[in-house]
Amino acid sequence: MNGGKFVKLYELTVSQLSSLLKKKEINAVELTRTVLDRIVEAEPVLDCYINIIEEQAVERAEKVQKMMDAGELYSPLAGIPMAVKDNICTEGIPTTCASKMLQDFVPPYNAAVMQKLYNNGAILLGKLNMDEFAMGSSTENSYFKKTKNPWNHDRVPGGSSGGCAAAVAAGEAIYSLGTDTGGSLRQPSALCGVTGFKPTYGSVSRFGLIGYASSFDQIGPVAKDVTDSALVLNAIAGHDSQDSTSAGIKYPDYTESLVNNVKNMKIGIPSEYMRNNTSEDVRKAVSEAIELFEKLGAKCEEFSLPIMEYVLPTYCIITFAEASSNLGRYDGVKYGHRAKDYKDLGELYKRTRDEGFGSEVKRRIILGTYVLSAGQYDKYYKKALQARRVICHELNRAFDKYDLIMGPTSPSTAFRFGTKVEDPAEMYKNDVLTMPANIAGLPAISVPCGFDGDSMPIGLQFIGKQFGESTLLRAAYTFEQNTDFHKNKPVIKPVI
Amino acid sequence: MNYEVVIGLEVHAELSTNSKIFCSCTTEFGGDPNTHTCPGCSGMPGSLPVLNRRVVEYAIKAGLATNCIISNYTKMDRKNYFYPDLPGAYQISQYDIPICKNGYIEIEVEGKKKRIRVTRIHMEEDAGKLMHDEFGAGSLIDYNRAGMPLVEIVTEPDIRSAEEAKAFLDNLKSILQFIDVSDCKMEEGSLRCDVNISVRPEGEEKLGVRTEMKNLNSFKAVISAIEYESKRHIDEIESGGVIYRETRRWDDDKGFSYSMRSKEQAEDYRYFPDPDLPPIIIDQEWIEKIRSTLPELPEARKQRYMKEYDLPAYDAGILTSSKVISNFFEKALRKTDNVKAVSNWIMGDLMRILKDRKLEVENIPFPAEYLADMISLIDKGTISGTMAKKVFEKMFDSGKAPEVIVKEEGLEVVTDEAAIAKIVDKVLDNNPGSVADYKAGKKKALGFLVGQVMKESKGKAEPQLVNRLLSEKLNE
Amino acid sequence: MSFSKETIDYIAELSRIGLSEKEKEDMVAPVEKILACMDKLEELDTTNIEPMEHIVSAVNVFREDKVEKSYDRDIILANAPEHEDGCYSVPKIVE
Repeated sequence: MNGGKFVKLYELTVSQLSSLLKKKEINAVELTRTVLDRIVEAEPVLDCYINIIEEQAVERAEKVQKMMDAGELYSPLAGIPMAVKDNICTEGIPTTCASKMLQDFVPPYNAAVMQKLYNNGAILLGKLNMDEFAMGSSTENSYFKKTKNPWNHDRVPGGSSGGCAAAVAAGEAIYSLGTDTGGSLRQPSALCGVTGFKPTYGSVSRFGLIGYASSFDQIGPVAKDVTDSALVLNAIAGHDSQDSTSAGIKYPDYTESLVNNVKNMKIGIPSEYMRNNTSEDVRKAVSEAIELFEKLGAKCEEFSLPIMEYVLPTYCIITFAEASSNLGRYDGVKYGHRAKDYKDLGELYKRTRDEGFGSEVKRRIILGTYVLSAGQYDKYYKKALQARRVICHELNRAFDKYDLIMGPTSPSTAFRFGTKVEDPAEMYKNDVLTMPANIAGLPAISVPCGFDGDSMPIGLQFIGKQFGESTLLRAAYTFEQNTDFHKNKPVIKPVI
Repeated sequence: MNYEVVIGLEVHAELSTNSKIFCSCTTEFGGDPNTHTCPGCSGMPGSLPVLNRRVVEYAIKAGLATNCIISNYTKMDRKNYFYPDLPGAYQISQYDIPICKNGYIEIEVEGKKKRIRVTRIHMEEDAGKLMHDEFGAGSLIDYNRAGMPLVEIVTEPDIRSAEEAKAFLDNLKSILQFIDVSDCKMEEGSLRCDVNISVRPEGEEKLGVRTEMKNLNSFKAVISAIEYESKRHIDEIESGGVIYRETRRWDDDKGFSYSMRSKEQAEDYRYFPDPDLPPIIIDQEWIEKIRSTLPELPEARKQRYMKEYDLPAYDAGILTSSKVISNFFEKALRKTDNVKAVSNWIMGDLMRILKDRKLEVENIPFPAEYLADMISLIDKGTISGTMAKKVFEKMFDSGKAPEVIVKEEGLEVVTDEAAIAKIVDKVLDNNPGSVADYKAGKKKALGFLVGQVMKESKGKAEPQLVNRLLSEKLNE
Repeated sequence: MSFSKETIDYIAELSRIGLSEKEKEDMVAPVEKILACMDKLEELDTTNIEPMEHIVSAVNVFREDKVEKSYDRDIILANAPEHEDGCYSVPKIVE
């Protein structure tokens, strides 16, 4: 290979690039510069990044290359440039949550996942755009900018990890780390035609993840294929004593599950996923996936999951309540935005929080505060916790019968800007298919499975049982090995 | 009309762990502002709490020592409110399932024994400290104290007077110190007390409207506040006024309480279980393991002293009022059998000297064995009782052993008859008037002359010998 | 379920967000819609169901009582919008 010049390096996967790096056909600095060039090319169109750290990235690439040359770094992630969602703390690098409230916040410490990635020789390119405080499904709620869908620049990339998905799809990062609270990682992955993995709750440390809903949030990889997802997961999963909710299990080598075989796998498709809001194109793509799985020897069956009706209210009540508490700390006193005009402490708080938060965040805090308030607690919060147990129970019952649950990731493909952001209740419905995995803490993955009539990507979702990543990865890998959807790349039309 | 005062107490005790409750910052007292903090205890985004095991153990210990039931299942909850000393806008505390409940502490006031029921004990984190800046234009916040581990001990409204409140606090402090979970230094803020108080006509069962006074930081303040506030309630009611259910601030300097208008509306804390912290299961095995580490508690020790050493209740009470004193007492008794003397020296001179020199019992500059040694010297007659008082003071000055001090300064009792006889002769020569008085029948003059001999001998002459020689010579 | 103006005023106060009158007005419709969605839970039979207070099955997650070095004050205060004499500063607090 001629130094990889015939192939656009930024279009290759982690495993491909790792191989080239190990064979010394390319080096980390060259690779990093290539991706940085791609960022320069695509950013004016797509606006994936809030902050790009070119100099630091190149410096780091030089260091990493030296370490690789000295035989000190063996990880498949070594020398590979990547980016993370801007709600993951990066020491010395601004971490804004796409909010005015944290516009100038520079964390004095790294999130646990960042430390792990650095230990693996990863090269950070910058921080990716998102919906403010991870609240949204389109990245339209960012204080700074709107990220465009690489497949059609009039459409949203999904959210809240819109920047993560768009960057990977467009080659502006070889992989990224996003976060998933109700589908925030899987839905944009589906809408942008890439692979997004939400691990079992507790598998990836939340230390350094700026919290939205503590019992729902998980960090996961957004990557070009299932193999890359497994490689990244190997690096970031693991017990962390700094996070009391971190699972103390024995973590596997996730790449051992990359096996092309689904014979006798029992797959259940909830009928609720295939009707209601789900568009015809999406249903068609998923139906074709079902056919493929049957051909490959799996047993697919539709089943009823009536508890789906209560998923959205349960999600909203609990996450909004947790958010209202987690976001209380933003008060202009210790860090972040501080109002300029105030005559006393009360005004300092109120103006800071009114000025610093966007309207979606404020709405969720108001609702979250309401459902926890005296007189409403039993009716809403307590009820939602009970509903959560019922939903978990129902999903576990499904896993008595099936190895996997499968269905579309999102009921529709990417919508146009401005079409849903005015109606939050409508916006939330985009995530109903992804929310169950967060409610029950289950692992779930979205892989590309087709395109609609407008050539917009469609995502296929697998949900596994708790710590059932191996089955998930095997099914997703098998699907990928027998299709080509993940190999498609969007064409970025440059701004004239 | 006679009124009954009904009091309940909420006591916050800082636990003497090495690190804070949810992070590894030190719990050391003092320190420049904001030098004992981290992202966790200063409320930074992305930080997470991890519970200090020793805090749980100390809370269980405190519960066992106060006869509580230890919950087999307990959890942490968030108490949400906005105040600058609370970095995260919520305090991690315990709401509906405290770690301990339904205990009691026995008190004795004016000879009457009574049980004050402990409703609950729960774990929580402390908030930071607010200070006013020097111009008085703003307030400054120090988070060193944020995240310090606390237990909150809540009583039923069983207390009926300021004396009972003091007795309760004394016993609670003693217990917590004995089991080594808190040093209970009110002046350092490691013990704080809130008072809930109401009055009702004697015989009435229904409780009156209560007011609350927070953060009283000395036992004296608790007593003064209770006395003032109960009087205020009674005066108000008698004059036809109304008591408002409110929090009042106690001004210890001025000696009155005043309404805190800003906290009129009852804050809705929106308690909910903290999703960042898994629940705590305490099995019987763990409880028994902790129970086996409990030392003899103050009340039990007091009873034992009364029995074993035949000490009166009052004395036994003082000797068991603090673990340090009690240990000092017992250590001294390993070297001498003279219980009465040890007890008297501790209760008398030792306590007095500590007070005069503003020392804590922990800072006695010599080991208990030295007290025993000194008592032995008195018993053997090597020094007089009067001289011993001087020696004792010098032990505090230098920390040296009593024999060393006696030897270095030549303080032994002089029993050399010839030497004393010389001094007696000298004194008699110098005080002809007194001699004459004595011979004239004024026996009191003998005392004066004895005093003069003692003075001349710098207190070292053996008193009985002086008496005998003087009498002999006077009666010649 | 009507989310009255008093309720919005009260909740905004409780959450210390100084919503303008317009923001409060604009909030009513979407909030009521979301509440209507939340009200749907009433239809779910949850008799005898224990609220799921924790999603992890782990219990007794503790750390040992070891002291680690605290952060340097300069680093901690680096993000503070206003500080004085090593402390965060706020307007005078009236008790």
